[in-house]
Amino acid sequence: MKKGFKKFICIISAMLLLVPLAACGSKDIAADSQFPAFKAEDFSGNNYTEKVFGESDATVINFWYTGCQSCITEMPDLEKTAKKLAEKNVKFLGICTDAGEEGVDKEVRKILKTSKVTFPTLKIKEGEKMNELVKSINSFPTTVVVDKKGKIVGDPILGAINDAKQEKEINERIEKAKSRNK
Amino acid sequence: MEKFFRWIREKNYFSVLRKNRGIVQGAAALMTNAHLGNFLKGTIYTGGAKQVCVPGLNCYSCPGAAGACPVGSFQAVVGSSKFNFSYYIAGILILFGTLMGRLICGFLCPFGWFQDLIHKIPSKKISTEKLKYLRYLKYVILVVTVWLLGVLIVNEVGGSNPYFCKYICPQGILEGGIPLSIANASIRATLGKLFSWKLFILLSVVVLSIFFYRPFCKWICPLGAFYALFNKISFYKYHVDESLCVHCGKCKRTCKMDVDMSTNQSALECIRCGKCVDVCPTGAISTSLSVCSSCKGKSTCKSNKS
Repeated sequence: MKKGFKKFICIISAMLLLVPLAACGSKDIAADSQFPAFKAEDFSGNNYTEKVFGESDATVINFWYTGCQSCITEMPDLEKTAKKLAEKNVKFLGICTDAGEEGVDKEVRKILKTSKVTFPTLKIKEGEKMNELVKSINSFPTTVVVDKKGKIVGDPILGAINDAKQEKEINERIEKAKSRNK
Repeated sequence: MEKFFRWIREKNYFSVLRKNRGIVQGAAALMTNAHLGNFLKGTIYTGGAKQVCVPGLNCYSCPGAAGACPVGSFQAVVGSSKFNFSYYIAGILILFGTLMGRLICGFLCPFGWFQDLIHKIPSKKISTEKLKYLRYLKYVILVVTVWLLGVLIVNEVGGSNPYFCKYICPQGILEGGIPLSIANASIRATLGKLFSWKLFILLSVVVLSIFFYRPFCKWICPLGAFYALFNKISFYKYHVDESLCVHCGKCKRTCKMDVDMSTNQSALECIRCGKCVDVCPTGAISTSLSVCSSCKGKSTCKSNKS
């Protein structure tokens, strides 16, 4: 066997050895953990805190930022989902993670207007743990379901909510949240 | 400064690095992906260093990535609704290109190293000399998928997808998609058709790399295409001492990138791997940082004076 090939085999097997170690990843948006306290404002000037969760049976939160094209593309779909969920007493909230700066806010308004979004989109004003949670999100869009008591239901759903599979995932979590309320 | 470079040339330190190219490549891959712990956590590093690009093709979404991918960053800027061109990234790339040209491909690019490793699998090796015309494909990919599509195909708000990253780049799957989906269940749950398509591209590049030398670099890589344009003007250059060259053609036969060093020292395809320097029987080939291999820096060697 060639020397170079032996080296190659060594490197590949070393990499493969790492695979089982990788199986246990840590999570910042962990299932059943409490959604952190926060103070936020939407783009119509209304204020929000974590108390918003108590107002409905469940709350669906969609995290996005202005540079995420998939997030922007899914906005019209989210609007439809939000309307459907409102009938079931489920609230839909968007959280724009880079909002808060004037230039970005202008862009957000433009996006909300062109996508005809009517559900509230929040910019976080205060909440240290909330900011940590936002920082821990690596993939956008990320969607989280929260129950009436402010607990996160199930794992976060990554990627756009635009197919039957993703919709099913959300509905499963909503049903679970509702059953917890009883 | 000139004295410093002359000193490096005379001491011939760089030839040590050149001869241990695999180690340099491995070290470069490790340095550009230094956050090894993130492979276990299934997350990516998002600190300040991610504002700066690494020289090689290295996915931003690799858990270990210490910096951003130049191609990815360029597309992210073009894809935003505010800009149609990224002068910041283009500037960084021009700086890298002017300093080193495609030396980056040969020594610093992790995906180049990956293909080099795959090519070590024993098999019949096939020359790509007859497939020369495919080289031009990478320039089309650079202009069309990295830039033009991002300007022309936009959504209602004026933004666009990073088309090269999303639909073509196999490095994203190798460094981002595969490790992240192994360690992160939520990401694993999202894998769909796009992942299958990109995995198909990656596997194709892997299989081709066994038989051909660096097929991705030769035919597809937009970053290689960009750096290629700087091979003619970069500070790091190859020189051939005409008085020593016997035109035996050994450098051409050795070159896996199908370059004839004796006739064209600034060929677009040359990744400055240095194989020709080592095989030249008369020691006619030298580089900007090292003298030819046979003379070992003796003052009598003409290559030492160029």
